[in-house]
Amino acid sequence: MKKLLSLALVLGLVLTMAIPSFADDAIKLKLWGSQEDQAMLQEMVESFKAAHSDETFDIELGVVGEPDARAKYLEDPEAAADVFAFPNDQIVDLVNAGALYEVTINKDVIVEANVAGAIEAATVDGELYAYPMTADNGYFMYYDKSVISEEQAKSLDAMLEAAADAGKKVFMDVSNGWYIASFFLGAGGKLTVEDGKQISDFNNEKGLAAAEAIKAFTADDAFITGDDAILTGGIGDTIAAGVSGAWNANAIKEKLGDNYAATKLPTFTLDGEQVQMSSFAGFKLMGVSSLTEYPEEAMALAEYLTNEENQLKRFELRGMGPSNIKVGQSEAVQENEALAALADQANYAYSQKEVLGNYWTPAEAFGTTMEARDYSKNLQTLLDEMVAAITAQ
Amino acid sequence: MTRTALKQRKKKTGPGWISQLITMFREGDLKTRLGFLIMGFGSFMRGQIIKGLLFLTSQAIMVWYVLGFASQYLSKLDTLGDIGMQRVWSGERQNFVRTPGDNSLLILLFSVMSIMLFIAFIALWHSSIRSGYKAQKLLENKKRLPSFSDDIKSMLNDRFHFTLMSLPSLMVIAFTILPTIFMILIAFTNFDSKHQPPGNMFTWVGFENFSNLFGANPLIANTFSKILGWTMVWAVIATVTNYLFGMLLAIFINNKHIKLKAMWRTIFVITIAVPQFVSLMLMSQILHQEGPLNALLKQFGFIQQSIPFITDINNARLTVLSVNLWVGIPYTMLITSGILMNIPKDLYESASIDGASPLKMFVYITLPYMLFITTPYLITAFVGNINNFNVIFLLTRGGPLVTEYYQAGKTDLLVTWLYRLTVEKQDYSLASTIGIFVFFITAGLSLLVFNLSGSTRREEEFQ
Amino acid sequence: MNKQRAIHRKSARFIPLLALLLPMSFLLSFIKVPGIDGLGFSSSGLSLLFSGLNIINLLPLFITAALSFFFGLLTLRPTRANLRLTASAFTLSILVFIYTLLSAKSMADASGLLPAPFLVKHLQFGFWLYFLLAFLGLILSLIALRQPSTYIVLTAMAAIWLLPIIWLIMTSFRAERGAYTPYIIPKGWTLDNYIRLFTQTNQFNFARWYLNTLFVSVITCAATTMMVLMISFTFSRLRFPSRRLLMNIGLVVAMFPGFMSMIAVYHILKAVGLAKSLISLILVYTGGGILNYTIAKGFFDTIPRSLDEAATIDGATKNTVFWRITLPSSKPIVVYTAITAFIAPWVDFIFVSVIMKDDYANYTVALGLFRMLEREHIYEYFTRFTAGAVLVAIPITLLFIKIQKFYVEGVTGGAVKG
Repeated sequence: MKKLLSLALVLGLVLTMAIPSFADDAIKLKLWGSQEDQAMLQEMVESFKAAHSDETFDIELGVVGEPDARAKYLEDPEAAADVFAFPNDQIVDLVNAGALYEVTINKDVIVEANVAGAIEAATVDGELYAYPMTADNGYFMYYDKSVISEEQAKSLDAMLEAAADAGKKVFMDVSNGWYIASFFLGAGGKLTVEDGKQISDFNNEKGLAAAEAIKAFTADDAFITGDDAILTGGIGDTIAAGVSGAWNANAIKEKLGDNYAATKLPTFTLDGEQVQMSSFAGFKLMGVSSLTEYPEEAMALAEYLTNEENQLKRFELRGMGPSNIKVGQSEAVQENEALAALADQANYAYSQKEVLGNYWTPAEAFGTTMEARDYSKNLQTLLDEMVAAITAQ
Repeated sequence: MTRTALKQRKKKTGPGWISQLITMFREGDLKTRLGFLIMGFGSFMRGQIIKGLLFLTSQAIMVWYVLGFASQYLSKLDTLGDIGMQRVWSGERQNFVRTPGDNSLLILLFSVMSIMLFIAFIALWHSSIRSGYKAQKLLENKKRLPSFSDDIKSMLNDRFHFTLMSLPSLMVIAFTILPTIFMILIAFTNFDSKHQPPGNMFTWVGFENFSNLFGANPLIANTFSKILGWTMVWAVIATVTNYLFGMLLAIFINNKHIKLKAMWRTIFVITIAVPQFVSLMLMSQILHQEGPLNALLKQFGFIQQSIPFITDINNARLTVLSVNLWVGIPYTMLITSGILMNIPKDLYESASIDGASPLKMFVYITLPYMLFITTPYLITAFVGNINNFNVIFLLTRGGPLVTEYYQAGKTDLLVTWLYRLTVEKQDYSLASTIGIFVFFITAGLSLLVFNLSGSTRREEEFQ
Repeated sequence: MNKQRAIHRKSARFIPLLALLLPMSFLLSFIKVPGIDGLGFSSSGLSLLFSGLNIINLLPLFITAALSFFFGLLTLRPTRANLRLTASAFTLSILVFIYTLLSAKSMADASGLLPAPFLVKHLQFGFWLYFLLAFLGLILSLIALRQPSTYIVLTAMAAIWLLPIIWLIMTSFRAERGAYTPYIIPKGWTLDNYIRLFTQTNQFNFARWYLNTLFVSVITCAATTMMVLMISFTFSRLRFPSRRLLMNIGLVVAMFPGFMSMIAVYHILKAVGLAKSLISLILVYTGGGILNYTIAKGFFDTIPRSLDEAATIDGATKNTVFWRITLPSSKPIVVYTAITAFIAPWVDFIFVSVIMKDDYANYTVALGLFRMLEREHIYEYFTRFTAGAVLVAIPITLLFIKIQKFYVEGVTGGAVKG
């Protein structure tokens, strides 16, 4: 067996040494974007090449959606894209992992062109690490005008009542850290990062009151949960209203037709008072990998893909809300109901940058327990456990 | 000294191959002794030219490999890297210039690979010396040396096992053993989301992960013990129910009055043929809060509110067990139906003359017979259920999540928990510690059963 | 041989009684039930009977009840022929009952008189009695005919096992998009899902994935089968030092959770320059498949050794024994090993995702289909997913049905005998 082993491994070794290497003049870059964006990105890449015809680019497109960017990048940074899009809640982790290149070239131009919130979202410890791409990674309320009036859409209780009267439901994915936070943050809870560690006070008195509100909401017969597929499948049919983001605007518009409406999140009852639901305000950013062979060229590509012209294109083709100030002020964007609702909600929104990876699962766990109406443990215990898990390690 | 004498020595002294080396050095002539330095020398100088050259080539490759590749990784094995990613401002480019630092993962992986290669090389070295020594002895005894073609021929007969095993072994070593050793070593490092390439390095931390798992970190330790408990409960129930119901189904179909046996069997076989990820994803859609089953029940008016099949803790556990039946029964049916037909008929005949009921016959004849024959299968199934990733992952993803667990839910098995830890949390070191634990349970159980059970004890019985 | 078995007269005697009760239970459904639960349902059951729409809807129930009644009375003279007719009538009654149950909602909606849950809440008693009686009648007829009543259990089980598959097939022809619909039977039927699977290839290139998978699985199948047979033969027939040790290593070494080792495997493949290629998939599946040799080894153990020995005396080498004697008598286990190896690439989505990462062009069908069900795609792609799943399931199912016999022989020969 020993002999066998050795012979086998020597063979393997020869193979190892035979790594082929090719020399090529073209500037090889890889770009990641989500599945739906592929066609649009291809178009943008072509025009980028045309604009930089003095150099030969070999730009490969890879399919990795923004939500997966961090995980997929870190799986093998060397094989990852040179330029990739990600939601801004991943930026702290990515910077800590040494994944991103600082933006230094044309920094002033970029800072000037985009809304302050987007720049802030792309900045870590005073350095700009990414190019703002969209300002629509947040959520708000869609509703069916034939069931819920504009006035009723201002308060969660009124919405539930109206929906119940019509035998329909109000949708919110409470078992999801992203959405459930709107209660805790609305009640004034804190979710911050100190020394690279997550800090949360969701288990204090305010947090408990928020938890009570969540309990009441999820216990309501007119409450329905699930993922996007439930909302897009049921709205107009069994669902009268639902919390979601701009990416669902087209599907929901298609189903509701003339009854389509969108607005900021409603108020909810906290300790007997009406309090505005908060939310996470997210931006999608485009970053350059710190391991890229061609940093300047990759930066040029990232900058190009997020410039005014291409943000407008994103809005026109995919309905994505721009972070570029000029595009944001254009008439078409201003008239878009979903983006208007998002802009309204932005006044009550928190930065998603202050959320680390450890937050999501415990928050989801709390939401799941509430949705299952499992009250075997009291709320304070659940909150304590949740915060312990969020702040663990 | 003859070969048998060598063998006897081997039994007396410690590691046989070292004493063998000593003997060969002591008794070898100059050619054999030079073979200690120049591989294949002993064979080459005695006319076994091809063999000698092959040994020499392998030595050359090894030297080239160590100097050109392995040394850069092996030298950093003690710390797993110490130079982080560098950045220097370049005024000319108006940009930072980055140079990647040490990659702990590659250092560890290639070090393990190099050490394994080195061990293999030692073995090769040893066999090259022995080959020279054997040639010397044969010549001393005035016997003919085996030519290269003789060696090849023996590969098809006396050493046929060598021929048959080499390629499969290479595959297993490269794709299973090496990766497994690597992952086991990860358990002794702090490889997690805060210590991973490209920006950061990880290093050795000894048994820290193990102590976290067994109590030092109450959150993780508590999660671990609870999930371990459920994993065992799940594995026992899933195995037993699948076995019993699968056998019952086989008995139903095998009933001599049932017609169209092939058709019935085929119906159940179809569900095996549909890939598990399809049928299980389908099941999770069907059982979804707003899925067709709830829709149907509401339509009939049995229920007003949807039944939370997979979001309520107890329902979810019941659901995964039931769906596992749906997935597993056809398999058990297929496997047991062949054996059922082999049960001696006279046992049943005499029992029915005594007036035994079908239930009694099942309990006193069928079950004991089947248990006796299928113990190895049962254990394999049990081990399979401990690691039953698909059913849990595709159906509930481990949920419903609970706040008292660390990154886990109530239907999570150890294996799905560590999937979440690696894929979502990049907490590789903790996951690999759990992996080692699972490995010990399953491997221990399998070794025990396979070495004690009839299948190995009776493997010679047809000789 | 069944013909020689006498009719079980005791149970045959009860059948006419059941047949009499069946139409009565049907009429019971139309008896007025005073408003329960304050739902205010007060329309007379009989008036329903005469409302045309409901006659059409309930007609099948009525007809089968009448049929059962008629044949049931015939069994007053219990001949085999009569009993068979009765059994069929009862079976038909049960089927019609299920159909009526399924279409209950549309019936209730169409009549405009009743709240949706009326079947359970109000007219339920007679309706369910109808089912119970038909069911009992069927069992009794089967007993009278001396046929095993396990037919009923088998049918029920077959339904449970087949319904999800049928739902899969129906959904693959569904015209409406989306994953969850509050109904079972599609409102519109279409072939679009299949067509688009092959025409809209810029995002999800199903045809390419299919060919990738086919390529990988054919080669994996050949390589794995060969190697598994080699190992099994070695362990079963050849005796050499450290055989037991190697067998034990082979048994346990694959028990470390595979997807974790995949991280290392990926880097090894990358170092060799094979990452993200179909060849690397073949290597990985073969490397994993090799270790499933226990069943084949168990099978070889059962082949008598006297054959080998006779051949060896005649001067055959072990190589000849392997090719000329052992392999030809191992058809079931060869087939079993080959199927298992062939199927692996069609069903794995974990390993392939670790190896292929962002390289969509080299995906296999399993991972591709899995991607279609991700959050952002499920609404658009769910029906296409089901179409794809059907296309994957068809060849494997046919394969399975075709060689079921060998599979059973192989697995029972190797896994448990021995």
